[in-house]
This record gives sequence, C-alpha cells and structure tokens, in this order.
Amino acid sequence: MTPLSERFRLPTLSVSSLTTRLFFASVVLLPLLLGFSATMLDYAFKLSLETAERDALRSQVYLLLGVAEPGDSTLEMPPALTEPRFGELNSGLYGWIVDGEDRVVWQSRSTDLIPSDYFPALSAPFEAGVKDFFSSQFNADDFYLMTYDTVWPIADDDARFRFVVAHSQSDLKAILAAYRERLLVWVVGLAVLLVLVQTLIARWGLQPLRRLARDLELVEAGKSQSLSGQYPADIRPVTENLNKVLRAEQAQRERYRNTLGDLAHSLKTPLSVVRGQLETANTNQQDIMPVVDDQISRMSMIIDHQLRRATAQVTQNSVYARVLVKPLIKRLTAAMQKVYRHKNMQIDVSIAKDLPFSGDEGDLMEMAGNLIENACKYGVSHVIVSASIAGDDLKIYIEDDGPGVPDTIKSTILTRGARADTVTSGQGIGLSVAVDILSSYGGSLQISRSSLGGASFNLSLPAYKGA
Amino acid sequence: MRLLVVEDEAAIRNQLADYLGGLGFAVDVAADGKEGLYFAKEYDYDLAIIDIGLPEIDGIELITQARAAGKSYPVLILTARGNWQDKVKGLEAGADDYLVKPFHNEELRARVNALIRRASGHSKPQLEFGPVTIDTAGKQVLLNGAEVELTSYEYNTLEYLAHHAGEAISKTVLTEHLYQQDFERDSNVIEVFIGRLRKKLDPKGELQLITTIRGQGYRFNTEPTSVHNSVATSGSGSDAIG
Repeated sequence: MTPLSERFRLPTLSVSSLTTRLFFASVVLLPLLLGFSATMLDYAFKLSLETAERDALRSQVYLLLGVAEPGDSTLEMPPALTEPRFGELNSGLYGWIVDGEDRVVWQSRSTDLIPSDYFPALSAPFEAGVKDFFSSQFNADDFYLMTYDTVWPIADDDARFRFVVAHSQSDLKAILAAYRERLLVWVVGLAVLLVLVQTLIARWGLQPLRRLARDLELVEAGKSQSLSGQYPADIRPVTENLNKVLRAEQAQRERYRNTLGDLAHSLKTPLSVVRGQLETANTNQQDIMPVVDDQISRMSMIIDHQLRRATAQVTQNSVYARVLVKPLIKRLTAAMQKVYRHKNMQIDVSIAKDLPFSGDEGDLMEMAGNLIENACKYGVSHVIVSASIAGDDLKIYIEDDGPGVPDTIKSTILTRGARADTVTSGQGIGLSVAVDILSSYGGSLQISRSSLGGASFNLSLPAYKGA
Repeated sequence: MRLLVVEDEAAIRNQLADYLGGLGFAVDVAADGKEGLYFAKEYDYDLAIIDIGLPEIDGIELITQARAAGKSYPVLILTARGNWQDKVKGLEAGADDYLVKPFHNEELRARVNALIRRASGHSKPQLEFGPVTIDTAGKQVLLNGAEVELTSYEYNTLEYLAHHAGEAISKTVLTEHLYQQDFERDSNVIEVFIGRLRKKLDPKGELQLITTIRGQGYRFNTEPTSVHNSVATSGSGSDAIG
C-alpha cells in the first residue's frame, strides 16, 4: 500500500520568504476572484442587454399588431410603418407574418433583399397568444427573434397568423465587446493594483520579523547579547522567550566553562601527586618509571586538549566582545620579560593602540601567550610582536632571532594537536594550544622566516566587524 | 637556603617538602593562603613556591600582600589550569616564574635554582671565585678543578654566603636560611660548618675565602678571585621585585 502522502502528494513550493508566499498567494487568488467577478459582471450585463432587447422586440411586435387589419382573405398591413427601420433595406430590423400554412403573407420592406426562404424555419407549434423569444441565425447573421401567435377572424373563419420580428445581434455584440474591453482593462488594472498593495502590506506587516532576523543575526555573529528592539505585541512573546533562552544559554555556557576548568584542575592535582610520588619513590622497578611518567604526560595533555576543544566549541557561537590587542600583548610581553629576564630579551611591540580583536580575551591571551613564550624560549635576544588589519583579517606576527623552525617539523607544528617539541615537557604543548584555539576561530597559522633571522609565527584571525 | 611552600593539596605539599628537603633546602610549609601569608610576611625566604588556587586567600592575593609588605624574594607559582590569565595575573602580582602541574621534579629543581641564583644576581649556574667554583645546578664545589667533598649543610652554608658575597651575614640569618623555623637557634653548629669549610677549601689559609667580622658575622670574600663574574656586581636581589 502506498502511503497517503505518496498518493496525495502536494506540490512542494520552495518559497523562501513570507512575503513571497503572500505574493504568490495573491497572484494566484486575485485573478481567480477578479476573473469570477468579471464573468459575473459580463453575464449580468449580457442578461440586461437581452432583457432590453426582448422589451424592444415586444414593442415592435405590438407595433405590427397595432397596424395589422384583417382583410378579406388575409391580414393587411399598411405600406409604411412608424418604425423607419422596417422600411430601410438591410436595416437589421426585419418583420414578417406567416399564416397557418407557414406561408409568408407579409414582410417588411427591409427584408426585400433577403429571399423569403432564407427566413428561419419556425418549428415551435402554434399556440395563440404565446410570445416566444429566442436567438437564431439566418442570412449569415445572428438574430434575436420574437414571435407572437395570433388568431384573426377572416372570412368568418379563425385564421392563424404568426408575427415575427428579427433584430440583428451585431449592435449588441459591438456594445458587449466594448463593454468587455473596458471591463478587462479595469479588472487587469485592479489586479495589478491589488497585488501591489498586497505586497506592500505584506512587507510592512512583516517588517518586525525582518528586524527580528537582523537582530538574531547580530546575536549569532556575537555582536549583541539579546534581542533588544521594540517588537509588536504579536511577536513579543517569541522575542521574550528567545531572550530567555539566550540568557539561559549564556549562563549555561559560563557554567560549563567553569566546570570544565574545575574538572581539569581537580584531575591534574592527583596527576601531580602521582608524578611526584613516582619520582621520590625508591622503587626497584625502575623500568616501569618512564612508562608511567609518559602516561601521566599523556593524560595531562589529553585533559588540556579536551578542555580546550570543549571550551572552543562553547566559544564558537558565543557573544564576542571587542578586545583591544595592544594592552593584552603588552601584559604578556611584560610577564615574559620577567620570566626570561636572564636572557635580557628585547621585546618590541608594534601595534596600533585601538586595534580590536573580536573574541574572548582569554583565547587571545592563550594564543599570543604561547607563541610569545615560544619566541622568548628560542629567541636569543630580540622578539618583535606586531599586529595590523589586512583586508578582512587581523594579522599578528610574532618574530624572534632564534634558530628558526626547520621545514621538517613545520607541518607537524601546524597540524592540530601535534607537539613540536617533546623535550620541554609540561609547557611544550603551547603551540598546539594556539593552533587549537586558532582553528576554533576559523583562523590560520603560518610559519615563515623573520627579518630578525629566526622564526616568524603569523596568526591570521577574522577581523573585528562592528558598529 | 630556606624555602616556603604554600600548597593546599596535602600530598603535593608533602612531596614538595620531601623533595626540596632532600636537596638540602630548609622548607617551611603552609596549607592555606592565610597561613602562607603569615609565613611569607614573617620570614625572609630565599624563595617561595605558591600554588595559585588556595583556600582562604588565593595565591595571587598572597603574592600581592607579601610584595606590599616589602618582601622581595623570588616567587614561583604553581598552576593546574595552566591558562595564561592565571600566569599573567600571578606574574603581575609579583611572581617571577610559573610551573604548570603536573611537573617533573627535575624541572622544579631547575627553576628553583635558577630563581635563587638570579635573585642574587648570578646569571650562570657556576659561581667562580678564583680557584673555587660553586656549581649551583649540580650542588658541587670544585677547588682548582677537583671536587671537594662537602655535606649538604656545609654546601648550603657556602652557597648562601657565595650568593651574598661581600655582605656580612650574621649567624642568626644563616641559621634561619639553613633550617626550618622550629630549629633550636642557640647552637654553635654554624661555627662548626664555617670551620670545616675553611679547612676543606683553604687548608693553608691563603685564600681568606670566609672572614669573620666581629659582632656582625661572616663575609664571603670576592677578593681572592681574579675572574669576577660580571653580573655579580649588578647587586643582589635587586630584580626580584615584580
């Protein structure tokens, strides 16, 4: 059995916006409605025309009846009639009288050019006093006809006579055509106007929804914390609930982050204890020491890595603040200058004081901190940190005058999660931290040779875009 | 050398005390920020190792208050989270270096030695005074290239005096820096160490390495050396304040 949906498949319209939906609806519905009204109007007009025609023909029949006189053997008609069209050739108004044997006993002068056998056969059975109105065709034209069956006393006998008046439909058709033309113009004009008005109404009516979409985009892009605009009462429940959800989500994210931090902290303390115990213990199983130690390092790194990944995912859609790059870098270089004081490091910072970074302050600190520490560790005496905007990117360069990075390990460093130096444990995972966070921001890291002679780590991050 | 260890995790605290004690340091321990701050302000240590996440008063606040109280000894911070916010805050508060948990004892030892050495103005781990070379990394003393056998107390006495070369160091100060705070001070053990050091390093009395200054204490003479360490003249401990 085919499922219901298969059998009654609705045409699926891929209509992307409400405005388009409403537009399509009115484009389909309006012509239907207007077409129906136009048809009704047309029908009513035609009906009124026919009624008028029937009245007019009846008057003509009465006119003929009024002037007819019973003669000796047949009806006698005067040579001229008050209606001039009966006397005018091919005037479109014709009259004739047939007797009980269907013989034409009289015909108006206007029919002179029409052979009498061209007259339509009148098949209706004779019934005295009955008027009949109908449409028929003869002499290559459409006509309305009115017949009136009468009985006259002729030669002491009752003679039957059928009065016939025929009027050409061409005048009526012309009036109808003109009317229809005008009707069409008006209906089409009205349709266009209505669709236009409908579209404008839809646009105006849906404006708050568009504003909502824009505001949500801002929230998504991290430039706004909540939907702050004034919305109409209809969608206010939606925006208020969305705001509630956003607030809850932010709080949740914050909690999540703290919990992860606490988790890392509480896992690493026991690891510290184990490592310390291992190193001070006088065990005679010396061969297992390196294995256990290696596993402790791995566990510690896994905690770091997973914590970073989790927070990176948390950060991904969070609300980004505008962080000034220079003060943050200055704090880091001051700290590093202190730690690497014995090297008498000259650390130059060349960054415009209002250069912004779009993201979490802590993340920028992790990225830059690890790279600056790296530069201080491998540099001999000089480190330069510079940053600028290039197109849509925020570029941060961290250069040193150390030995540089051999090509062989460059790709290893750039691979997410890889460790460049396994020699200095504990703090050797710095580069992978930077790469991890960087990729969560959709940024990239390049390593080139610095003009100082050592390595140049080039960070590329999406630039701050905001009002 | 007398160290302060402030760590709330008992296991790590004991390990640090055992390990550093085994290296010949006199180690005072505190389990929370309040106790730690009391010790930090009360005594002149050669180095303090402070965990950042402490109960009562956190590590950063502890360092800030100790520095505000005029304490200039080097401070090494321990951090489990290892994030730069913590590191930078700690360094800004007045710490001199940091170590991320879990760390290797070897690394801790290297950092501790480097900080103590730098605080005294020496940039290299080898301190040279004429024929006498003190290797602070290997805790070894060489006389004309040959190793001199010293007990750990003898070595510590010598290293402390050498780090404060040219200054008169009282017996009380020496005792304080060699022993934990609960040590019985009225002892002539320092005199014994000095006597043994003089005998081992300068058996003929030619070098006059350690002189006794009456009423003030002992002084390690830079005189006998012909190769002065250039950094040593920059002044001891002047760069320890953050």
